Amino acid sequence: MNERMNIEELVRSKLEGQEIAPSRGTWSRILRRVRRGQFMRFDPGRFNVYYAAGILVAGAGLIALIQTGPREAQTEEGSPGRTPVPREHTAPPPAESGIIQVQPDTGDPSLREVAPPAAAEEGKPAAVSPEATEEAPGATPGNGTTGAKQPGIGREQALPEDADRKEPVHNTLVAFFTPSVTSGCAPLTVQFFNQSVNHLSVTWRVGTATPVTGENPEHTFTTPGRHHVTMTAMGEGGQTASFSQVIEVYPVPTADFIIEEGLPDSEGQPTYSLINCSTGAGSYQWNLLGEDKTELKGWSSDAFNPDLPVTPSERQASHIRLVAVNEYGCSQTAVRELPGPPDAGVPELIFPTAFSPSTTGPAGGLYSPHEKRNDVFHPLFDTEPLEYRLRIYSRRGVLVFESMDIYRGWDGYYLQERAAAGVYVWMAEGTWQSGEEFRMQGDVTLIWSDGR
Amino acid sequence: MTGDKEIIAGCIKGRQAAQRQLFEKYSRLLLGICSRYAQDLEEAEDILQEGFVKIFLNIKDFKGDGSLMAWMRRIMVNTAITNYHKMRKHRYHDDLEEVSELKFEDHTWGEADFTGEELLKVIRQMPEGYRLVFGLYAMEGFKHREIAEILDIDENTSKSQYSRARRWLQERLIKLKEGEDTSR
Repeated sequence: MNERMNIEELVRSKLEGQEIAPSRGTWSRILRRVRRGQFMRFDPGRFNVYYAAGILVAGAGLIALIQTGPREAQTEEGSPGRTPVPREHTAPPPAESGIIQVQPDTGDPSLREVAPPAAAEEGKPAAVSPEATEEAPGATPGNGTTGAKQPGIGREQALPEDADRKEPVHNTLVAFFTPSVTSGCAPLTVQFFNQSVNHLSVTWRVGTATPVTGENPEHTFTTPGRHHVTMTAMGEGGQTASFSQVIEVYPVPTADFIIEEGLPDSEGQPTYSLINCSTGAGSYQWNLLGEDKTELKGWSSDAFNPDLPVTPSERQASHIRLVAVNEYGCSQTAVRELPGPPDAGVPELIFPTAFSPSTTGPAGGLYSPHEKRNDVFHPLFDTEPLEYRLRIYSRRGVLVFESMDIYRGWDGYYLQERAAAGVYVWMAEGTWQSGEEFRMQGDVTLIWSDGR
Repeated sequence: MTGDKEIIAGCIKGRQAAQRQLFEKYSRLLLGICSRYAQDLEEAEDILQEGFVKIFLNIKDFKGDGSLMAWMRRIMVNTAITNYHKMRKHRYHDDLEEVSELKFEDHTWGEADFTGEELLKVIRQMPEGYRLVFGLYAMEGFKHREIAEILDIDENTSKSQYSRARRWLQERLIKLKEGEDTSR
């Protein structure tokens, strides 16, 4: 159902028949005034008299207006385009409206003007008759209530009712404000500039928060979403007016990542892979930062999980920075320190204190890198040494085993025979990649699995 | 609820029960009408109260040859105009100066573009002169010549003000719609 219509049709279709419930107390206020009005009705000196008369005139005139339309021939002088509608009776029966009768006596020019020469046929110069009112449906109520001057008409008159009304003159209140920004990433600080006219005070309300007073308050929005800001202005004579605006706060992504060490490269230098843990983002930008946190040239990436290849430039980097950006253009940055180079740690060989060789015969004692074998006496280590020698002696000083290959340990046999169970002494020596020499020694207990 | 005829008869006799019935039956619709000519609910209720007082004090003059609702509606609109004149006295009335007619690219609208509440909210923000001319022409069906009489302005002023009013309203609505379309 989306047929297009113009603005008039839209407004009519939406507002025609719209119902709004009056607030409490409206009826009783009306009732009071009606009672007062009915009582006052016969007092010629009161304003209400003229007011009611004016409205009689206006109301009936408007009805006539609708019914006849302005296109009927202009027959009356001084009657701009309106044809008097003949009616059965003119003024209300005298019994009920001393109103009408007193009018000529007051010499009130306003009501005289209401009765144009055209209506003189009625024989009542001040006839507040329906016919007479057609030419001034709006002017009359204007005359009846605005009092002394109406701009632009030149009908200056001082109606007696003005003296009685004693209503204060109020400057009309207009509520308006301008925010410094209407949208942005969280947290968003907005300053609201009050631009109301004729206000005495203003109150601001943001969502359900406690109202704030002040001319140009500032507010920081931390929650993403659309926020309604309403300003209520108070003016003279109890006037109030409100104005609302919507501030849109965009969410911000979280940027986070893990640096995972990969295997060292051929030169033993560290490599890293980057695991992205960001949320709420659509694009990423990785950069290297130097010691002073400035961006380094060289490597950068916009991949989700990039690898960080290690080149001389990367070796200068102390930090990695990730900027995660979402579809609103809001971003968050995460910076992590690169782990230190591995030579900060001391390489080492770890030898077991006991082992239990196989009883099936000499196996050779070979094992694979990172393999841990209980039936071969061998060291555990992270990085291979450059040079290596392992010697094992019995308690009586007999050399039972020697190896220059770190991947060949002792299988527990000497001269093809099972070595005796018991404690042996081992000595390991060599040099690391860095050139550093090492020498270690310790005890190891040989235990045969069959107990012999 | 009794029919309008009975209610009117009771009101003419000044019976409170009948007056109350009239109020209960029509006040919501009439307040809706008043709202289109007011800046906020409080002003609309002032117009409503004033209008109802006039209705009750003058109901015996209702001829019965048109609908009661139409008669009451005219009184409410009339009261709104009175209210406007009263307000206008206290500010310079440049909002109704005669200006040359402006051309505005007319926009078309869909039924579902706005709710009644949203429209009313925008209308409440209209400058008062615009609101009145727009309402009298578009909602009440007055001709510009009649509006000129009612508001004591030139007929050309009424036309140009109307043109400006509908432009103001449409620009506001376009902005409102754009705001809603881009919100996530």
